[in-house]
Amino acid sequence: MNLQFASLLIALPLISAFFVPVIKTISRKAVMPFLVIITAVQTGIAAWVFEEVYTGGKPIIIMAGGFKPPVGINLYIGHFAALFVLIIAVAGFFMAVFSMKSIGVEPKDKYAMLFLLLMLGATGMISTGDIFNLFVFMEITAISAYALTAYNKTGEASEGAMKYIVLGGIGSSFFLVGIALIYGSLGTLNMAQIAQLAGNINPTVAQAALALLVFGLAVEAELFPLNAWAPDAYQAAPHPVTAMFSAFVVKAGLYAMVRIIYLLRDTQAFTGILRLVLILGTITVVIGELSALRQTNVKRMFAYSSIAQVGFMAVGFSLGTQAGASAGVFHMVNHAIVKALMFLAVGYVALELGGTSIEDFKGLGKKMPLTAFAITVGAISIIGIPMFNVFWSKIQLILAALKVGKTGVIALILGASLVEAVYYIRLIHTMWFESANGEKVKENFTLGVIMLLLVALIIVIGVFPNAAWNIAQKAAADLYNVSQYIKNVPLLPGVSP
Amino acid sequence: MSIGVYYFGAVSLILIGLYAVLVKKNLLKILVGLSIMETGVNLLLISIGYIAGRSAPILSEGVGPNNAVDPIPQALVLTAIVIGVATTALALTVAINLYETYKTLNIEELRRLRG
Amino acid sequence: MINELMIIIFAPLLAGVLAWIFDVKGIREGVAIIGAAVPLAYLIQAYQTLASQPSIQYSIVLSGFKFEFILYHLSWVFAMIAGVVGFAAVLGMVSTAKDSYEWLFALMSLTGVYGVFLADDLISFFIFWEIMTFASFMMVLKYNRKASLKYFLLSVLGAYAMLIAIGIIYAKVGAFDFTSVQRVFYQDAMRSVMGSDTLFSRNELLLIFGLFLTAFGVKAGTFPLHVWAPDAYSETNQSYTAMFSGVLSKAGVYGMLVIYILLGTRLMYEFGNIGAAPKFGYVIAFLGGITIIVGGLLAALQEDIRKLFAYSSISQIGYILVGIGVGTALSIEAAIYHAISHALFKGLFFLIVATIIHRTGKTQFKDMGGLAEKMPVTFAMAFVAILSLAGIPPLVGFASKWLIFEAVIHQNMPILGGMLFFGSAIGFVYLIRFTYAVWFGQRPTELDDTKDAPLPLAIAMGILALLNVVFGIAPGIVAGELNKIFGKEIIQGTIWELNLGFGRYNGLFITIWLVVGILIAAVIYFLGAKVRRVPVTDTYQAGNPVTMDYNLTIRRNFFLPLKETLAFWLRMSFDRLYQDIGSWVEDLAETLRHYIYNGNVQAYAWYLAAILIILALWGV
Repeated sequence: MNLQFASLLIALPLISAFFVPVIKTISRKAVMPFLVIITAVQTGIAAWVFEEVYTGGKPIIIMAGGFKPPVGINLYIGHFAALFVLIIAVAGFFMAVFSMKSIGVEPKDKYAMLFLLLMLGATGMISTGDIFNLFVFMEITAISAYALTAYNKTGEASEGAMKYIVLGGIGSSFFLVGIALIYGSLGTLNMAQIAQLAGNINPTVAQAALALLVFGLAVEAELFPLNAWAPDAYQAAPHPVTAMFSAFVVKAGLYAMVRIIYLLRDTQAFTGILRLVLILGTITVVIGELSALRQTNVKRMFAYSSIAQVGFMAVGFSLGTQAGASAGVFHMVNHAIVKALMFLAVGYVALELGGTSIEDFKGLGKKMPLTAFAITVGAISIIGIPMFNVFWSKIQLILAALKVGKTGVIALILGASLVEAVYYIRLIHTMWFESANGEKVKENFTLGVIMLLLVALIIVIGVFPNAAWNIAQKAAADLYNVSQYIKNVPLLPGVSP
Repeated sequence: MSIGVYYFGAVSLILIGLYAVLVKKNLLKILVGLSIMETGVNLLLISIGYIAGRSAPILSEGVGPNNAVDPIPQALVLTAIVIGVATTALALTVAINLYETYKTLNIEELRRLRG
Repeated sequence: MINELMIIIFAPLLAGVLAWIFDVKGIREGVAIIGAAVPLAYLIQAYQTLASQPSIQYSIVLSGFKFEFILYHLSWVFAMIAGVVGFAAVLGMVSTAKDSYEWLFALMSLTGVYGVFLADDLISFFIFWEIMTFASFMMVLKYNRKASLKYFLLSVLGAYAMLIAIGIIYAKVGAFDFTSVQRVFYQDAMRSVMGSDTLFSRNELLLIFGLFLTAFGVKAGTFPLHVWAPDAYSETNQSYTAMFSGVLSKAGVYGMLVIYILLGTRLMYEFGNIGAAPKFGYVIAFLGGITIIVGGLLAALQEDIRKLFAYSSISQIGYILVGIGVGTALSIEAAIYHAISHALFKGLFFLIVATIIHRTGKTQFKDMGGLAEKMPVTFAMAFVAILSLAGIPPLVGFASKWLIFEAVIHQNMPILGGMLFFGSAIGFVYLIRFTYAVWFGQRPTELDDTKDAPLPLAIAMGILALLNVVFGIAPGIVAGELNKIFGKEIIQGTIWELNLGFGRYNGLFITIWLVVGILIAAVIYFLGAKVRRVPVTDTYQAGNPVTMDYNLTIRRNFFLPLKETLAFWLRMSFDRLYQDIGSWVEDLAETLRHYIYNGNVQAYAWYLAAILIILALWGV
């Protein structure tokens, strides 16, 4: 098959989103099944692309309109993008299925549109090869995320969305200023060409541009203290949307940030900005974990936990070595699996029992054993118990930190794991060993299957980490190895700014 | 007029917008501040593509690649404006919703979600 | 063919899973007993193999890691401890386990502990260590959240400490297997003697040592990391505690030996010796000594029978650590000997406690009394256990404690010797309480219907009690096996006699004299005094009514004066220190969270502005 078909990854959600109103006029009930079908097809395409990239070993370059970069805009689906597009598609598919059950508020057709646009935006952010295009996709993601956060139309939902809009708005404005600076000094927007010419930028401009770009993306990537919107938005958003936020939206932001930092490796600002990210990441972990400690709202607790995990990824990337990047990517993958599972389970509990406060989780092991089991596995995995997937990424992170002599990271991981242990064990104990009245709920079969699939994935990666680790390493090499990235993009010879 | 004026104007607009966001208590004013910031950024983008003495990059009689300003920033700004409009519209919708629920637009009272 | 080592390790887990799936009363117990018996049988069979070859090895490659296992004399001894005590504990659980959940995790922890003892590389060692910790944690979690949390936190600390140490080693050695690691450290030691550059610097070595010490200290319950043990040991199924305290804590002890095996030479050359004892061992030995005293004193002050033995267990582990720390061949043999006897008598004790709780439902001394008449079998077992723990010949406890004393005194270490003696004395103090308050004196009327131990528990106790006696009368059996570990006759003598050259102990001889003495006493007793039966109320409190204000009966606050004397020291509780730190952190987190995430979007916008300003200052 022609590899250019990979552009369907972008095209399919976009076209489908605009088909939703058409579907609605045919039948209101068909909207959500349509969403599920589209996400399933998207998963199929993503799996095919993944297969092609990983067996071929070469990235797929899609040139819009057939123009070669830097004249045309190109998509770059390398090892990293192929992996994450797959994760987005799979998470999107699972959450679409979950949405069929959990979304009761009309207008569902708008929900379906926004859902597809969110997937589209994140996919685009990860696969684009053009920095302004990145901005556009980021805004698509952000706007659909704002709207989805406000979707329930309650006061809390509006409030969460408003915070997200204000902070996201500031972030994106400054991101655009950063782009302006880059364009002003290099005259190009193509990421490969930017990397090629990075050495020539005026150091001051480079530093300012890099700082602003990182600032703008750090808002999306939830680095402290730019993440203040996140717990509120996570809490107020519909449950499937929260799962998607944690599983891929935040990671798309983090990816973009890391990609841009690595692209500008030849500038003098590189080491400084890495140190900045390391500091921000560390604080993110500390504050995130501590904030989760005494949460009484479980969804919010998971939100803080998710933020802290993103901090780990940032720390991994900021080590500035390939091993660190690999650990970061591995942690991204593992965290996406675990948090998709946990937010799905929490959302399902809220749906059946009416809330996400810790009170609702009393005796969950009796009422909804499967869901409680899923949350337990997820929690144990996040704490970093061996034979569960997150353990391996934490180990790789420790090893990577040891290699560059940053022993502080070890203390960070150790301390964070202790705090995680405290609040997750409390939750586990509440679920299994505290009694509460209430009938046993008949658990939904489909959701049960999804949860068990994710649990199985957690354990399979936990027991046989090598396959996943290899994939993560390849993806990280794609991210880290910039000279290879430049070589892979067929820049038109002779076209220079 | 020197190009510096535009840069100065752009940075001023950004700072004014930021000031509104940071200081004003009314939600609508904050949103206006965001819009001002976006305008400033757009102006900055345009200024970067400006080349003194050239005309708008619209292909017409007497205007070729050699006597038009850099067209790319103009295309970017068009996109950015569209995005800005979308964001503002959405934000205003949310603001209406907030006002209907809580009967206030004072930002200090809109803090049910915290901790 | 599946390797016998794999069978030994995974048979309990398999049985546990089966018991969990086929949750039928009767079947799950049967499966569990088989699961605990199979490894024991294989271990006994392996004894013959080991007589003809030095070790049985097995390795398997999974997901890129090579997992190596080895059974040689040292690991065989420890595995046998796990086998025998684990089997007894499983038998005991037949009577006391409530559901399949307990079977699954009890047997899983047995698998973990076998894995730890048989592992021959750091990764398998760590993974099985974690399986063991996790399973035992789940056993505690079911009973008590707070106790389990404390246990878990310290275990996570230990796990990461070990992990980081392994990481540092791996980063330089490039291999995980014990042989390579040991060789590298040995070569390093040689290099340091020659004065050339070493692979691991002195500081790194110290760091690795400290990390391992933390990791193993947590599991063994070494002061000041012991705080989890009293709660965790008491807040679970007491039959399981027989395994928990008897076997799982030995994993910590085994870990200390692993330090010697892997790092010993290098540590010894780097930090030197005092006499024949290595300096670094002093750290272990003195921690052990403090553990003896702290554990012993606290045991005496407990009002709960489970807590008493939990602290007593900590105290006894201190003996083992002293033996290991002194670091001569003799003292290490003595330590392993005491590990065996501790497993035997403490396993027995916890089974007795399990029986008492199973039959009476009480755990406090104040609710008990006069059970000797109602539970004669259990009492007989308790009698053996008490004598053994107190170190009275001819029981196994005496033989091992005597060896440790001899080893310590032989190295001219008076302070450690004093600590050991103090530990023995305090052992009498708390045992007298257990002896009298539970078995004699006035029996509360509600305990009048108490029955004796159920059959499985009785068998389990019988096995352990028998071994307590056998290894006491014939200490040479154990000593012979221990000598094989070092490959030379450290402890000489016959099967009945231990001969160190500067001291000897003959179990059989003492037994004969003891029997003769008892016979003479019996003759005097039957010929002499006129026997008159008196009701227990007459002897109890000499007829005085029990007042509640300053009540020092054996059942309530018996050692209150001791407690008051020690009041100053008791205030310095590490347990409380950790708890204070914990709640302080939580309060801080609470304040911080409400302050930072205050809900005001404008404040959040200011955070962004602050970062912008920082970026600007940073050099834009």
